[in-house]
Amino acid sequence: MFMEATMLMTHILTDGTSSLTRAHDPYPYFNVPQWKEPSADPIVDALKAAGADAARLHANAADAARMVLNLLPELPNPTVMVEDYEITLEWYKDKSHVAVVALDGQSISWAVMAGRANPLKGKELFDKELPTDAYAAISAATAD
Amino acid sequence: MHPADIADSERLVIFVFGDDMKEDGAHWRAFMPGADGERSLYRSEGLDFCEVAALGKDVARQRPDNKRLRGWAVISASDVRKLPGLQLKVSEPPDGHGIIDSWPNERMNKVSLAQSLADDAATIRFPFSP
Repeated sequence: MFMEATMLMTHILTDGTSSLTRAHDPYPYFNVPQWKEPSADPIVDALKAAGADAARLHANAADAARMVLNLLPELPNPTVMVEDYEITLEWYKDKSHVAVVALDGQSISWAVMAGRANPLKGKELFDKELPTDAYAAISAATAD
Repeated sequence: MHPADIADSERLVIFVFGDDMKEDGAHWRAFMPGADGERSLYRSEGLDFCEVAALGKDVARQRPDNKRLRGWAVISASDVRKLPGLQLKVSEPPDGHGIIDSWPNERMNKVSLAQSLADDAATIRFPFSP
């Protein structure tokens, strides 16, 4: 990065004197991400990827999924998929530590493996809050 | 030739394709039933590593999605039967083929059972695709 930034300045030597040309406008360079960015909205991406299946979702499903994401800001972005009239969010650490949450627009259900031989699951109506049992299960599966 | 019934002590093979193979083993999706409501598997008694790999390549060739064979999960019949509701059945041909059926209707209950199967399974993971 330093090397590239310094190359924005061109130093020209002419007949024993030196002059500094005007620097190139760095805006176009720095405006283009130099790394692969995480998805800005993984739910939108999942809905796009689902194509026609996304149209079969309950109208509230995407909002509910986004609410759950916002209620768990400490976790990394999950894998988001649209499956069987539900949006699923998955946090995968390893095969014995994995949390899957499904939102169908009315209810929230979860299937979690919170350590060896410790399956946890449940389902409740979703009312803009994460059920205590779901939060405990997800936390147990994703804790460092 | 396999016995008519699957014994509790038998080791069963579920082939794992594409992204369903993770660094630490088979992802729970590899154990989920298909649209027919069944999870296909093979009985591995009497088969050595190369024979199981050859069988996996045959299965891979028959898949419409072109996903690569990444290895296989090995699970005992007793580990399947201890999970509530699931049943193991012989489903030949081909020889040695079986299924896990009687999955619950609700998807997340299936996910939970598949997570338990993945948790119990040992995994043979190819460092490359054969």
